[in-house]
Amino acid sequence: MNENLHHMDDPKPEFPIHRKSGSGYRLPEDYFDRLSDRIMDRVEQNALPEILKTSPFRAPDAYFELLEDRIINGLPTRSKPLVVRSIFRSSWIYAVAACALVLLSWFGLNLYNGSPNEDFLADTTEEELLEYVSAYASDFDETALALVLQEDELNSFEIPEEMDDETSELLIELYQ
Amino acid sequence: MAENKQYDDGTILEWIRTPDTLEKGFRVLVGKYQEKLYWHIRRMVLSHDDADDVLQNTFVKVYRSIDQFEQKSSLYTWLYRIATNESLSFLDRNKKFQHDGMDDQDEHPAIRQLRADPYFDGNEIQLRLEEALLRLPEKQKQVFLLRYQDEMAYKEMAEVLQTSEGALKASYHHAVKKIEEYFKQKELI
Repeated sequence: MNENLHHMDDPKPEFPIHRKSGSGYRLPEDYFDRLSDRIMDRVEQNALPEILKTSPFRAPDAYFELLEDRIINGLPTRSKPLVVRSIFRSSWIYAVAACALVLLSWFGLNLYNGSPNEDFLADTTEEELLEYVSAYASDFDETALALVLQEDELNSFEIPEEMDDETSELLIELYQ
Repeated sequence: MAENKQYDDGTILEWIRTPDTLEKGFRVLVGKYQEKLYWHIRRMVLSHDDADDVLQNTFVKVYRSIDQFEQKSSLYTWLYRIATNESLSFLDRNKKFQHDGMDDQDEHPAIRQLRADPYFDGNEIQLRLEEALLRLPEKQKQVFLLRYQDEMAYKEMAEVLQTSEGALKASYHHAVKKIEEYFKQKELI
């Protein structure tokens, strides 16, 4: 019989095989790797009574039939990933927030800067200053001003030399 | 339940990781592994009620942490490891399993409880094996149970207990020797 045909008729081995070349004998691939373990197991297991291999434990009737449902029902609820819709999602909100931040920073710097912003004052007309003072001066008394302004700031405050009579009288009247 | 065993672990994990099939996947996982894990836990904690509690805790832990399972080991090995750790935590919390300060002649409280357990059908020799196991260091007991009763390969045991195969073989040898000595001392062999 053709040798190739003979091999085709062989049943497929159920485990990986190792073939010693030329001998024709075959054995499981990991046979020698596990041999020492198997010998030791037999030696050690024979040291103990055979009955110890039998489990003495028993589960209640129908325990496993009901277990699956009991376990599934006892599971904690698994929250789906929470989709958070950001209030900052729209770009116009960013623009508004940025503007607000710039304005707040500007006001903050001017409030706590201590000394009056000279550039700002240079661009402000005398009429505008008087209007501001007449509108808000009544809200401040000396104590309040002393609390807000430091001593050196108070000393550095200069009344414009070139002030007309009308303005001077108005300021004297206001601060009396 | 039996039909759950036909699904391979890859399919089960895929279902679990898809929100729409999560429950189906987990149900199949429970059905496939519940008995193996139950018996593993039962041999460690002894009573049915305790095994039932530990098994449920095990599956809750599996459910919570399955997203972290990286498939570096087989699913079965990973489940076994969680069940083993849950059982060890339970034993640590329960004083009835501690035998520090006990006289060798005293019967272990867990054995007294086992005698009254309606779900334990063991004879005197089997009771003595449980007592001998209770007196072993926890690691040796684990190794003995996995090897002698579950007939788990050392390679798999190394993954479950995260110990080298050489150390496991040594532990198993020591465990068998101690149990043999205990049986001789009790004149049971």
